[in-house]
Amino acid sequence: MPVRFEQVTYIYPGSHAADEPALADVTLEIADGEFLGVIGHTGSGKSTLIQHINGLLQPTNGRVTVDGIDLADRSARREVRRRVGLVFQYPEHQLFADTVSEDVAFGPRALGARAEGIERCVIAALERVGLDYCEVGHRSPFELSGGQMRRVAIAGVLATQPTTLVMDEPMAGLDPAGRGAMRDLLRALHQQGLTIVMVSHDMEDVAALADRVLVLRHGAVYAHGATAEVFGRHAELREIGLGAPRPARFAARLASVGLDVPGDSLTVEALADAIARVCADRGEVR
Amino acid sequence: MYQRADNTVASPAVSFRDVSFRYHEDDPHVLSGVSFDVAAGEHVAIIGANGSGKSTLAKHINGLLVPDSGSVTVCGLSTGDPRHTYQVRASAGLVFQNPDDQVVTSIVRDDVAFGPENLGLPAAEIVARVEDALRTVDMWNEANDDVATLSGGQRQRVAIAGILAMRPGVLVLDEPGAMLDPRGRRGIRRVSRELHAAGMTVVVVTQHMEEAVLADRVIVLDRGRVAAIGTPAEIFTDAERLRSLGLDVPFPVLLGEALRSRGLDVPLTLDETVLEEAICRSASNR
Amino acid sequence: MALGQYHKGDSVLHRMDPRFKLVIAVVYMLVIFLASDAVGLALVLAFLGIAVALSGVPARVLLSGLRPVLALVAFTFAVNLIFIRSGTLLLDAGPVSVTSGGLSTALFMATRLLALFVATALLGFTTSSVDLADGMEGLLAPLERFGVPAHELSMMLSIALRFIPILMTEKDRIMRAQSARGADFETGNVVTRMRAVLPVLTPLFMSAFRHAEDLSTAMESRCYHGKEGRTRVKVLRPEPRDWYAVGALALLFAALVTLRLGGL
Repeated sequence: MPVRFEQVTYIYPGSHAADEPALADVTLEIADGEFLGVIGHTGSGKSTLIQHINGLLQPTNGRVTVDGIDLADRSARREVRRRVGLVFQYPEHQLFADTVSEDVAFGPRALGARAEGIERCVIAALERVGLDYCEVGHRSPFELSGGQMRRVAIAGVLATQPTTLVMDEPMAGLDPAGRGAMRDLLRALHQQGLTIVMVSHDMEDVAALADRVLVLRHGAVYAHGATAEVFGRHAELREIGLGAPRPARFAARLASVGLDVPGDSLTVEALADAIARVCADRGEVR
Repeated sequence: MYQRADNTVASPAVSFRDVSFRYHEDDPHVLSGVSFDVAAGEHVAIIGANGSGKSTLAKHINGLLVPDSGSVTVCGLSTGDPRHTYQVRASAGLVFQNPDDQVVTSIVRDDVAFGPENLGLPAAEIVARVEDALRTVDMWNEANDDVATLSGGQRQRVAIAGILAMRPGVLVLDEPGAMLDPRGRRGIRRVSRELHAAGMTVVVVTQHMEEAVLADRVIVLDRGRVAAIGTPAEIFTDAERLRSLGLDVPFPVLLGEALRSRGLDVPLTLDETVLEEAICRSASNR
Repeated sequence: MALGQYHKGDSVLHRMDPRFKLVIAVVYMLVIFLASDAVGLALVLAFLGIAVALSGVPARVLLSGLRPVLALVAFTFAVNLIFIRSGTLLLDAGPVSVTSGGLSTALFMATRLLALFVATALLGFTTSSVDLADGMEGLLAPLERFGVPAHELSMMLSIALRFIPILMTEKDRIMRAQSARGADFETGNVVTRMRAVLPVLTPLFMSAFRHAEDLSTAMESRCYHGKEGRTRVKVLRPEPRDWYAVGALALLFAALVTLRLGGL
C-alpha cells in the first residue's frame, strides 16, 4: 500500500487548547494506482492532510507510512520526497531558475541524482507534461504563458519519477480550455500508473477523474468510498454544505419526482443514458 | 442599505464605440473594434477564454486604460479626457480578483475610507459612507478588525465596500470570485445581486457560468473582439458556439443535447425545472 | 503572538494620539537607563505597570509576546551575575563566582531590559499599523518644508507593515513547495543553509512585484493621487489623556534625576 494513515491527529503549533485539531483521528489507506479525490470545506483539513503524505508535517499523534516507510523517520524522508510528488496550488509561483531545464532539474539535484541522469529526467518530465525540451528548456520560465508555467512546475515534481502524485487544486485559475487540458494530463498520468491524490473544490473535476473520494469535515473523515457511492449520498453532502456533481444532483431531483434514475450518474453522458433507459422502460411498460 | 448616487445615472451607463487597444506598439491588439452599451441599472456579464481581453476591457471602463482608437463613455463622461479622470474612476468602481491586493491599510474601516479620502470629502461625510458601505456588504461588525484576520471572501467584500464608499454609478467586478472558495463566491454573488436589485448598474467579468447566467445580458469576447451579445438564454443555449469560443457549456444545455441525441424530445433550455418537466413528460407519454 | 503584534481593543492607550505614544515610548526607553538605584527602578516599573493596566492587554497575551526575548533577558542576567565582581562573595564555584554586587547588577540590568521590551510590546499591542503610520506622518509633517516626503513615507510604512504577514506566508508556501521537491532548509552549516534560501528569493521578489503592481492599480482605481486634495477621517488631535501621559513621564524623569543627583 503506498499511503497509510493510522489514527493521525495533528494540532498546529501555537493553536489554543480550545481550537479543533487540524486533523482528528484520521485512518485511511490509499491503494496503488488509485485516483483519490479529496473534498471538504476550507479549513476541513485537506491541505494539512496532503502535507502529511510527504512528511512536510509530522502527526502530533498517530503514524503515516508510505510504501511501508514510517514518515517519522527523518533519514527516510528524502526517499519519500522522491516517491511522493506534491504540487501545491498555483505551483507556478515557486519557479525561480534562469531556465526551465534548471528549474525542473532542481528536484533531482536536491535529492542527489547523478549529473548524467538529470538531463534525461528533465527531458522526460517535460515530455510528460506536453512540453518540448528543445523548445522551452533554455528559456526563462517567466517568459512562458501561465498555463505553460504551471506545466513546468508540475514537470519539476515529476522529474524525480514519483510513484504517487499529490495535487492541491490543480485547476485553480484555469479557464475551460486549460481545465480540459489539465484533466487530460491527469488522466494520462494516472494511466501511466501513478497513484494520484487530488484536492479539489470542483465536484465535476472529481467526478470525472477520481476512482474514490475522501470527504473531510472538521479534520475528520466524513466519508471515504467509491466516487459514485460517495456522490450518491446527496442529503448528507448537502447537510454538511458540500455539493455533488451536477449530474448527480439532477438525478436526485428526478428521483424525487418519481423517476427511477440511479443516483450514481457522475457525468452528463452517464446520466443521459440512465434517463433514456428509464424513459424507454416506462414506454415498454405502457 | 446602499443608496444609489444622488444623480440618477443616465442611460447608457457605459458605452464603448469601436474601441481598439494594445499594450505595446509591437504587440497584437488586445481589443479590436469593441462596441456595446450597458443600460443604467442593467446587470451585464462579460465572458471569454483567458486572453480574450476581458480584464483589459474592465480596465477601460474605469479609465485605467484609454483606447488607442474609439471611445469609452461612462456616466456621460469620456474616459479619454484627462480632466475627467477621477470623476470617471469614482463613477465606475472596479473590483479586482485578488482580495489582498486591493486593501491598502490594515484596519477595515480605515481602508474603506481610503477612496472617499482621496476624493477630498469632509470627514463626517466619509464616516457616514463607510458605515453605509460596510453595512451593505455585511461587514459592519468587523469594522475595527485587522484585515489579516479575515477570510478571502470577507476581504473581497471589504474591497467592494471600499468602492461603494465612492458612490459609483457603475460597479465593475473583474473575476471577483476567481481566488475564493465556493462559499466566498456565494457571498460576492449575494452582494452584487442585492446591489443590482437596489438599482446599481453591475458589470461582472467572469469565468463562472453560475454568475453569468444571472445577468440580464451576456457579452462574449473572443481574442479581443465581441463575438456575441445576447441574453443568457440566447448565448448559453448555443453549445457549439460556446465550445468554439473555449467556454463551458452549462449543464442543462449539455444534458439536453445528450438526451436529444438519444431520441428524447426535450427543449433547449437553461432552466433545470423546464428540463425536468420535459423528461417527466417523455417518461409518461411514451 | 509576535512581539508587539496589534491586539484589538479600545483602552486608554489604544485611543492615545499615536504621535504622543511614539515620543513617550521612545523617551521612556531612554529614561529607563536613568534609574540608578532600587527606588528609581521601582518608579520606572510603577510607570510601566500603570501603562500595562491602562492598555487592557491581558497578562497572557503580554507574556506570550515576551517569550522570544526572555532568552535574551536571561542571558543578560547570567552574564552580569557571573562577570560582575563586587561586594560580598555569595557563592564560590571555582572559576565561576557570584557576588552581591554581581547579583544586584544582574537584577538591575535584566529588569531594565525587560522594561524596555515590555514598553515596545505595549506600543505594538495598542497601536495599529494605521496609527503608527499616521503618528509617523504627524511627527514628520513639520519637516515637509525641508523636503521630507512625510505623506509618502507614511504610506510606504503603512503598506509595508500590511504586507509583511502576506509575504511571510508566501515565503512559507514557497519553502514548502521547494521542500516537497527535496530542498533542505534545516541541515547544514550557515553557508549551506543560506544557499538553500536563494531559490526562495526569486519567486518571493516576483510575488512582491506582482502585489505592488496590482495594489498600485487598485489604489489608482480608488482615485489615489498623492497628498494633494486628500482629506483624512482621523485627524490627530491631542486629548487631555495625552498631556497627562506627558506629565507623568516628566514627573518620572524629574524624580529619577533628583535621585541621581541626591545620590552623588
